[in-house]
Amino acid sequence: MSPASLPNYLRSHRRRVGLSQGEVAFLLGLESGTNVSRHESRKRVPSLETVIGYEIILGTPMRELFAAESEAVSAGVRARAVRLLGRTAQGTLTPKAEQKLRVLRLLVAR
Amino acid sequence: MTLASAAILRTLALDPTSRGLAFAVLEGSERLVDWGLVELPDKQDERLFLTRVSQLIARYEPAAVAIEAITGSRRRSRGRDRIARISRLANRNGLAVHGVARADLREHFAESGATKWEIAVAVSRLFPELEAWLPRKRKPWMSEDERMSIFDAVSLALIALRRAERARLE
Repeated sequence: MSPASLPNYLRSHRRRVGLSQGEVAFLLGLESGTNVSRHESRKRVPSLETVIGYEIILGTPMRELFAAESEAVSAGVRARAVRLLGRTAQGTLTPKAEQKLRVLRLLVAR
Repeated sequence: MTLASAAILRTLALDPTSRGLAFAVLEGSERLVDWGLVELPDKQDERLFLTRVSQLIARYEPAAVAIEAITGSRRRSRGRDRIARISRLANRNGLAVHGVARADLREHFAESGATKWEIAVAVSRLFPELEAWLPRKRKPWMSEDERMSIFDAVSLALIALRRAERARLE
């Protein structure tokens, strides 16, 4: 069994606020509750517009609603930041490079 | 609690009912992920019962399953059999199984009262999203509302989580 977060917590937060799939679909401007059901069961990936809509309707940050996806993206960014950090540190340390290093170190530490 | 540690403590509680089963999923003792009633078209179909349980395990990927302890339970044989089947299925899936006795439930919620209704009210205070699911207090001549099993499942999960957290600290 995976110890990771669930792929998304849309259903959990929707039920917490007491809205049906049909009502959420209406608020999102989608055709029917089936669309919301597909997002919840991960059969369809919501558009950026819909993701923002979910955040507004459910009052929960995107990274919490899509926890597993958020963790995966975060891990990828951190891994690439390590590589970029190494490359930047090898070059000439201009004030701009030092600023970049600070940002990258913060990213890696997150 | 970080998301990863919350997930490690994700617990699926299952409570067989006369028509199917009630379930609750908790991550840590403060986050109710999902809950509901699963109704079987044929309430005697044991294969379908186990299929539904398997689907819940696959959907929520819990670290542990909480069920009512059979020892000392006043359930009928079908209820006991189903609990035993859930336990075997969870074991086959490599999940920890927590059998929770009714006495443990009453002890845990001793401050709120000892009856099922009082425990359900206490659970709905912990998780206000369940308030709409709380049936009216039944009269002695009324049969129990199926929704009460959801509150049973949540309370089973809470006790299983408390045990797991205690074991982790020791």
